[in-house]
Amino acid sequence: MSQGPASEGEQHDGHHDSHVAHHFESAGQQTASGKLGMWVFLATEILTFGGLFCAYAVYRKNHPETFEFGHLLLETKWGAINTVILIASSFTMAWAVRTAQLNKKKATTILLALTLLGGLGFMCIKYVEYSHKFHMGTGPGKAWFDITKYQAYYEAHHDKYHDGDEHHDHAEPHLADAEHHDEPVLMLASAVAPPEGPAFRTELTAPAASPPGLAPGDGESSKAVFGWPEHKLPTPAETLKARNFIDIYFAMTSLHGLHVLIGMALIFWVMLRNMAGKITAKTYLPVDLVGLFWHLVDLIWIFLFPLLYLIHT
Amino acid sequence: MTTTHTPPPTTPDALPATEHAPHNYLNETRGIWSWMTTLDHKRIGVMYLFGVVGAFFLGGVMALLLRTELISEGPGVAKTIGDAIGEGWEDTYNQMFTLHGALMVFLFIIPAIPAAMGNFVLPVMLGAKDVAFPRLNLFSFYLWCIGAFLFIVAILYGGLDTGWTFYTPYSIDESHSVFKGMIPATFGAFILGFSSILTGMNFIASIHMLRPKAMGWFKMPLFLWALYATAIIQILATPVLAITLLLLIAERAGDIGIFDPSKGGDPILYQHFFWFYSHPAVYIMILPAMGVVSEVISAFSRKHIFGYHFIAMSSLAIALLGFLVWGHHMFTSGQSVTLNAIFSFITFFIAVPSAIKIFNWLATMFRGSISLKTPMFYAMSFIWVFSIGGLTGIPLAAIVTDIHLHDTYFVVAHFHYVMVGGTVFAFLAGLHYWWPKMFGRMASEKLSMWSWLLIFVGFNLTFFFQFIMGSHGMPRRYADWGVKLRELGFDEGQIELFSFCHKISTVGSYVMFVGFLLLAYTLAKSLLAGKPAPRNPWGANSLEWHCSSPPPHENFATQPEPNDPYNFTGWKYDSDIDGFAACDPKPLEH
Amino acid sequence: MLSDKASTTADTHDPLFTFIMLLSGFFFVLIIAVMVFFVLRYRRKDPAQEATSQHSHSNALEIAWSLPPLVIVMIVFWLGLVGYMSLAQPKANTMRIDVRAWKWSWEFRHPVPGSETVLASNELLVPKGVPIEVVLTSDDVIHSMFVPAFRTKKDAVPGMYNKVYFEATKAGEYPLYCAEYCGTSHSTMLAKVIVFETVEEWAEEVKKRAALPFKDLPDEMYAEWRAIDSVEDFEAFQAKAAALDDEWVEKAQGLKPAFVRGEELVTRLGCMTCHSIDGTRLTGPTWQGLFGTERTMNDGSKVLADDNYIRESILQPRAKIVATYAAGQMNSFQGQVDEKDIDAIIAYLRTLDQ
Repeated sequence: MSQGPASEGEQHDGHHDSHVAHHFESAGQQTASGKLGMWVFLATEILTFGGLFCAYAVYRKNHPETFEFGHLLLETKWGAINTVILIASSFTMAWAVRTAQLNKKKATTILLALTLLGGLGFMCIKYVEYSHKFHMGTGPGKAWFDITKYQAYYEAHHDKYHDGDEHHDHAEPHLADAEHHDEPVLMLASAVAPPEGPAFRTELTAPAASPPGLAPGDGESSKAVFGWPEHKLPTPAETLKARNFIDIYFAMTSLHGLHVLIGMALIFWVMLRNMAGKITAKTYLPVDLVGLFWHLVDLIWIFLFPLLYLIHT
Repeated sequence: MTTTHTPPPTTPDALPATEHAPHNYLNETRGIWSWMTTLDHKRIGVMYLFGVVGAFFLGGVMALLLRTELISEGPGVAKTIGDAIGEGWEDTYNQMFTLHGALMVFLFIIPAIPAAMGNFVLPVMLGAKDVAFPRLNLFSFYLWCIGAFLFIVAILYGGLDTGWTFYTPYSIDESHSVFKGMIPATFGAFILGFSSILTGMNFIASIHMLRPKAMGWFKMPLFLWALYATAIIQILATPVLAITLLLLIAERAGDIGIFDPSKGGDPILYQHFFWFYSHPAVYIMILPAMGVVSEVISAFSRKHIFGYHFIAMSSLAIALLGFLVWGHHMFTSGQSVTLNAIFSFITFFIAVPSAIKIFNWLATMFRGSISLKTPMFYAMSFIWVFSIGGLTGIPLAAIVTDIHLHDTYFVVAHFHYVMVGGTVFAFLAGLHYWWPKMFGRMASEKLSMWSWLLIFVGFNLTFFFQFIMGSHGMPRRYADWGVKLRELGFDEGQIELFSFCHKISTVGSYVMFVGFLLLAYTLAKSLLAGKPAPRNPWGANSLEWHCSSPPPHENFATQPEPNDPYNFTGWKYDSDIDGFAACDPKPLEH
Repeated sequence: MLSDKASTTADTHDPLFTFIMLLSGFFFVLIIAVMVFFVLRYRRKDPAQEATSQHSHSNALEIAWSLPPLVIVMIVFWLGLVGYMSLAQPKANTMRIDVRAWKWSWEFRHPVPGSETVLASNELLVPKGVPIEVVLTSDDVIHSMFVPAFRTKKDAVPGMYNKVYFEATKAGEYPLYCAEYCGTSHSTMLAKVIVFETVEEWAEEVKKRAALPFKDLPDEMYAEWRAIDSVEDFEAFQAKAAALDDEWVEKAQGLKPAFVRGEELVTRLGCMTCHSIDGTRLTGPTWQGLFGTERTMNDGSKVLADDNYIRESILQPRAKIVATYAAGQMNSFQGQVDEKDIDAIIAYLRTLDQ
């Protein structure tokens, strides 16, 4: 990774290869150091995401209602396609490391380009997913969560998924509740005698009981793309309950997306190095390190996908 | 340990021990640019040293201001400053303690010993030419600079009054006026976290990979063990702080609901995340300090360190146990009785490795030849303050007593005894110990002793009385301690006690300040006109004393043959150079 | 090292604290004495002096000095846990007091047998010898209820209900602090705990806080009461009220002028932490010379500070924000004051013209 002024290294150590930094005794030591450093870095990455997974677990336990409806806003098919793309790109990455070790410059370039393409595909699908959520009014935080917008979207689209329109009646009152959301909610608590226990918080985010017959997965998933059943849209009231889910979803996937972007930049960099002929069987270390990083990015997605898209209640 | 029969290696024998090496890392190349782009770990260490001392000065000024405010009841100096900057005096006080805490913790204590001294000493102690990743090392220094810059931005751009802990929901509540510095400060802490992670990574890779084959794990100097244990904490705990601060920024800027109860978030989750980092961070501060003390006590007693394995392993034990005790910061937060019990139980175990270290240091002094020079005085002060800090940790670990003492001045005094006592005294021990090696100049022993005396006495005056008022119920982070009590009719006893303790505490802080000024003068004088330092002024035997003072650019021309770093028989006192000259070492009989 | 104790918690806490302090003192003196002795005994008198021993390890010694600390801290752990368990668990027949904290005031709801709970701001009233269960929550940020005399502390966390148990053992008045940093006026977020000798005394005192005879005045006399602005006028009014009927003979003694009642209220509600009466700028606007003047709001509009404005500011404080002040600082006092309380507060504010 780090190449000090090679000339200094050679002054007193004639057998030094030019790619070995002056403070290393041998190429082997340099490679081993680089790998160790990378593994240690990957450990810190896992702990970074560990914090988010931990927050996810706490919310699952404390606010199951937010997870009951939140996943309805996601489309499993996109998540699944992305999973396949990332696994495939991990494979091409691993292969590129091997070809780099074998000095096959051209094959390495092609494989790295394919990996890069996988990352690009992943980000394109993420873009489709994100923009759809912003379009629906279910983005993160105050700025992008707009229940009025979602109400409009819901009314325009939910017929596509459902036969009857029995939910129309319920939609209106919930919207009224929605406007209270940004008030300092705890004032509610001050007006009434304090209720017992943590039920209190649920009341804050769940202004109205969910409409009857809306438990997820009750049988109406008729439309299918690529064989995956299509979820029905959650009602605006349900979406209100899912706000924390939306926030967590965006926090986790955006941090992961950022890692994909960093990974792509790194892959692009080693690809250029390779094309410039700087990657040989002796100096394939950068490819190996970037590969490790890319596998980690892949691995984290493999956890994110089921946690966010597949597990329902 | 038996010593291998090798003469103290390296330095060309032709070189007289007192004279500066014609080429050393300081004069190898010249100009600001050569420093800014340097990959030399020694230069990076020196730059860190100046950086952290600057942060220490700023944090110290804040401390003096807030102590001055507390010398009497009612608005004082905070009002003068508040009027000048257009804030209320209480808000001004709140900013002062927040900035004092944040600057001291993030910019000074955490990087002080590992990044400044560790960087300088670690590769030399290993007999290596540099750390494993020199560019990463320079990069983490620049990250530190960016973090420091963001803190300055936070101070100038509206300040920060959340306390260094950034507790939610206070830290995401936009309604208070002193708030604009929140995002730059948390982002700064985030960046500093990265700096810390990269340094830890570098140290782990260096110790694993650059250690000479002849230097087995148990032949490393204990300072390296301490840095290794510290690096483990840095890489495993800091990422959690990073993600927590990111979420906090997202919550503050993007209004998402993770920690804010009014958005369905959980403020206690924040505390868990925060202390999961910040408790181990206490050991990031104290473990390297213990490493320094191990080196100094052994060298200044001219006696092999006692219980090497136990000291080394107790560092690791503290590092690992440190990950399991964060909940003891939250005994009153409403976490379950079971959790409280578990956290209290594990916390008590930390007492054992800490005690082991202290007893081993004492045993090292037994039948030694104790040289009473400044580094030794600081090391012994460390034992003094760390004993008080550690022992007062016991009532804070026992749940029933912690509930009364939590968030009072008792806690303030306790962690200052551990963190300031622990880290700063060891930092100063290390500074005096390695100063001749770093700059090739001796500091005046007489002036150093005076500044030690002032700092030691001032420190104890400042903090000891805080134990007393804390146990009487004086809560921390109070801009005022008398007016409201009087208003409620509690004008006897309590107030007089608080008044007395606060006054002594403030006077103590002034004494300490004078001590630090004298220290700064002493060191500046040494830099400009100090006596040239011999290669080994103290007679220590770890590898940094084998190269010249200051060391050459690449430390060693060839990798030195390491021997037992605590076998001092290879160095004889030489009155001509007022230092130690190499001779044939003898194996030690144990 | 501890102040007066006044609860059963203190009975558990104090002996353990003293024990730990003595133990710590013993170990500290031991360590320092050994260190000082070694320094005196083995100090280097001649720069070339060498150590007289290089003995560097002894497993027996290591064990000998590791085990005793381990045993001692385990004992301390156990004592701390047992003491804590006895406090953390509800006892039979506890009296429940609900506590609500906000920036920067405390509100205590006391249960009164056979009537509604009685609210007292910044005053916690408890009888001696009765186990109390305090249920805490917060409106805004985290606060912490700390009564040093009771050796008890518990955080008030928004969105959560935390419980703490104690039993007072000594009548008297004790300070109650906010121990969790909560912003500007954290250091004045104090309240008073009053412990009564008997439950009867306690109940009487609590009822007194609930009993407000002015609220029972007949309408025409109530209007007259509101307008009183001097002590002489009030004495005449009091005599007139006593003459109403038999019941009022005693009740009239409990009457206070409207502005005095208003002053009591604003003090108890903690208004003064943010509003000054001498022109000082605090978190909220000063009240000095407020009534009847025209105010500029942050949207540039002008509003006359009359009865309606003050009523609105108490019940919907976020409706209008005075220019140069931060929005969202004050919470509504809806439910804590009724219309007649507001009348009294207005009467008080009227006395504050320059």
